[in-house]
Amino acid sequence: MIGDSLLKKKETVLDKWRKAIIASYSPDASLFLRNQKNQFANPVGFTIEKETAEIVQTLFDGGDIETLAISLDRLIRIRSVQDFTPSQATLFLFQLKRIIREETTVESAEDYQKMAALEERIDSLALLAFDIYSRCREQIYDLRLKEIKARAFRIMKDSDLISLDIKQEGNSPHENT
Amino acid sequence: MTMSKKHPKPEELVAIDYQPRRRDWMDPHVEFRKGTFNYSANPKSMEYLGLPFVRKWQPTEDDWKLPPNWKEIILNGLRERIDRFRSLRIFMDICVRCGACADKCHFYIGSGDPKNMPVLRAELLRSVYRKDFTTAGKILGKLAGGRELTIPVLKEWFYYFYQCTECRRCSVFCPYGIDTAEITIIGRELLNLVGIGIDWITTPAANCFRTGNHLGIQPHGFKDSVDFAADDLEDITGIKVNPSVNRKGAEVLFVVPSADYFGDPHYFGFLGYLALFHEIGLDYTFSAFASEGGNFGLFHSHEMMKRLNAKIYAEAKRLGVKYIIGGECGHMWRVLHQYMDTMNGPADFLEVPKSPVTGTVFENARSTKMIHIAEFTADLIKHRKLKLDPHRNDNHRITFHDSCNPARAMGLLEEPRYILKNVCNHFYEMPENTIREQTFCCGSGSGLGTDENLEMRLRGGFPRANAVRYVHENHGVNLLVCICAIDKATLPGLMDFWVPGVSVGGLHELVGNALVMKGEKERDNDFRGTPLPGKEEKVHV
Amino acid sequence: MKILYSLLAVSISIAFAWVGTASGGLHYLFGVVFPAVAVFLFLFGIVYRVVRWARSPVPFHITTTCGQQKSLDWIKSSPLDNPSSTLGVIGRMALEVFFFRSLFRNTKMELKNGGKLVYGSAKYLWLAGLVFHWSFLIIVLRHFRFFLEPTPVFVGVLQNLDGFFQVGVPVLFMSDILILGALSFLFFRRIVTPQLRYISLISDYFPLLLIIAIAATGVLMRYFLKTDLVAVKQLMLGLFSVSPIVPEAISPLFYIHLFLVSVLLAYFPASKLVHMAGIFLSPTRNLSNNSRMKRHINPWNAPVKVHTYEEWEDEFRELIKGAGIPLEKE
Repeated sequence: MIGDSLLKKKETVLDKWRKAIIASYSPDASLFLRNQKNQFANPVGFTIEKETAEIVQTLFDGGDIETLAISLDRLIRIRSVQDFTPSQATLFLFQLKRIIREETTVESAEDYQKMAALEERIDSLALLAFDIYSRCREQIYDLRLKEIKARAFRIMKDSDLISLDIKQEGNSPHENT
Repeated sequence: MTMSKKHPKPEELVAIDYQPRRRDWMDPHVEFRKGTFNYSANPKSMEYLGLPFVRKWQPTEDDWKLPPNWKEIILNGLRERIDRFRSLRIFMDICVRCGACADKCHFYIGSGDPKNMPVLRAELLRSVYRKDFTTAGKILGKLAGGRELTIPVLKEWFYYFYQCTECRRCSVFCPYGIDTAEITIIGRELLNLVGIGIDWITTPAANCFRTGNHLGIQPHGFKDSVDFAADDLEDITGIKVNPSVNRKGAEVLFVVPSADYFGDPHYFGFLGYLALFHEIGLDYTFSAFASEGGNFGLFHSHEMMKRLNAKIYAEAKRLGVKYIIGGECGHMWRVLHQYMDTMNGPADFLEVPKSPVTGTVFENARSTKMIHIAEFTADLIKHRKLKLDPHRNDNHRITFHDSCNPARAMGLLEEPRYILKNVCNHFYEMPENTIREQTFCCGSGSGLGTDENLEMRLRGGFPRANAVRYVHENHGVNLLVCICAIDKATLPGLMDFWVPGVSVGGLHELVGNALVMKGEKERDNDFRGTPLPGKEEKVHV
Repeated sequence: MKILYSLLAVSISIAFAWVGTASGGLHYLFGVVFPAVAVFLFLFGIVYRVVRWARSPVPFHITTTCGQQKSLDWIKSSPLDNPSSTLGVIGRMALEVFFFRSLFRNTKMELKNGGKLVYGSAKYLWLAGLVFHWSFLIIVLRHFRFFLEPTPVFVGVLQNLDGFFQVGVPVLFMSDILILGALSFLFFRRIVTPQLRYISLISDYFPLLLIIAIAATGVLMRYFLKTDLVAVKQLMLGLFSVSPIVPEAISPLFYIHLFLVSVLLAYFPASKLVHMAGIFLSPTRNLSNNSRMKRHINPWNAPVKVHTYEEWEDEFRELIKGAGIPLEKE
């Protein structure tokens, strides 16, 4: 699928990409995320390491990118609950494009075509990423509702059981607005 | 601005603050982002409890409407507590910042926020202690690691002391046993002195103080719930059980967290208790006043904990029982095991618990006179007093989540495992650095389990979920069993998000399913109403 | 910045002692006054600290349990990680103090991809910590040959063990190598690891650098720039017998060494180094997990406002009655 020159660069691309992703965290956490290899002691770092490898492998091998939905989901799911905006959470795919471009020199028309095809595949991944991100966020709101219902599992059936004076109505700031 | 020649890179566009400029931790900085903090306490609840400085405010507002002498109040409060707690004084003095705890906190692991390293969480308070209570700090200030108590520092306390679930995992790894939970507890106490608390703690505490339980369920509601459960159990087993409420002269007072009779999936474990006690003919009663074993006072202050806990011994005394059994709940058991006897004892009007079925005397509760239901049930099973059919739980492939408090404040590790191995056939442990004393918190303990805080909880719960995912993928685990009401309330959401396909259940739900009761009808469904193994078709007929 | 300040503080101490004794002639000050004051501050400070800790009450019985509790007879409990008896607590403390049990928990061997055995960095923290503390103790004990006449027997034994390999003249002590190695590791670890650099304060770098300087000057004197040991012993014996003599002919290097030790002693009680004493009083480790077996007394068990059953019944009487729950007063 892709030229030999790029295939040789796979490890470099992967390494740079991981570093870029980890750089989105506080520098004080980056070493922990990178160096603690235990899958359970450092699930975030482990996920980054594992799923990026999966993605780069499939991209370079010309595999079906739809199989990457799970890998992408795992990466984005974590970022969707961390302190990232939607664009920050999905930026890493665009960074991958640039890293690949930096690592390759386009010398022929054929190279150019291959490159364009690869970038197109990354674009598709990016589109998929937007879907995954918004699905995760939607799920968070669903979960909020679901939890409230489960908490009042029995109350739902019998609403006058609750003491009315200090009802758990919450104290949402949105009441004021 | 003039147009720049070069287009900005994507990073520059989306990430003005992408990699926050490296700042010294001593410069306080907090951003209250939606989904990562808890709303302030409802004034009504504060008033009911007689708490100081009742007012309307929210963390997102600039002005927290603090009393003018807030700093003096807090520093005096800190002085008082340093004189009252050896633990606090020692923990303030001896930390060497070796960093062993740094990567042990689930919030740090899940968020990467360096101020979630336990050592730094403690330093938030310790720096103020150094500034105002040590000679070096008074003279050298920042050079000696001292920090002035300012409003931004206070806001940082609020943010990070409500980002600690008091799970005590860090204290397992600390060479001096420094317990961040105790530091967090004191930190929250200090904040409460100036009227800064969160609603998810204060309102349940107010409810509990008034009605006896966190949900604010009134006596008739409690009775109704118990009766309702008895009816449900009859539908499933064909056996009519007769639980009593506020009955004098019973042998045992049984205290459960209120979620047990109201929440999903807690409720199914409640059915399990009823079935078990009926089967062995235990002479027990509930109390509609001591209708809560949980104690959100623990998450508020030592004083509030004592206020809410008082009713348990009081009811045991009034009803004239011999001893007390406690249901499945994590922080409830922290209070019962480590605080109750000291705070509201001595329980000299009770007797040392002795199982009426096996004759076993529970010497480990010789003074407190309260035993954990897992201790009680494990003893029954060991003496072969229960007829169990573990095949009824064959639809489940099970793993066990050690709840923080029973694990690290009691050491209740083997009892639930022994029970599980007797009531089910498919039990798989999660990796060893995520269970027993090294167990990962659900991320929602210590009063943080609100929906407005869900994002933070999903971060904090990720290490736990990640270990569950491992057994889910490798052993097909589909049920996460736990013995904590907060776990049961919050792990289902955590699983939905991180490990879909794994549901959450209680230990005694499985006991109840497996328990073959004398004279029961042929059971088609488990306690959740799903068909038992082999009964799937029958239901549809 | 913090490292710079610490380095500066240590350098100034060295320069101060150098200038004071090499050209200032302040031998009495550096040889007698400062050490005496330092020893006094050390002893007084430690006692003061320990007394303050010991006098603050332990209101609640909060242990950290790291193993199975003692409950039913047939369940095997962990007497050391979750002790329920005093003997168990002694065992747990001994493991903690002598072998850094909790730090050791950090360390786990792991099989990395390809079956390669990898050790977490935390293992090195435990190892370096252990090596440093033990070497330090051995070195302090070895120094008793300067403090006591006749030299106690244990010093000879220690020296023989420490110099077991009989390398070089004078015999190379393993503890000298080990302490410098361990300290360097602990220091560089703080600088290199971002999260540790983030949490480290001047009071973390300073004692490390100070002890490195003490060890280095000691090593210099023993192996490279010989000092008149007879004179040194004379000085130390004088100090300890409270009839100080200041012999001539002791090199400024010795005074630098002695002054740095004085600084360490004086600084010790005011710093995090008091963990040496504090660990013994840490409630999460030195209490047994027997809070349900034996009632723990809180000396200030303050009364609180509770909600009584009577108040509760009064508020909900009609509802209680309606639900058929027994009442105290109809």
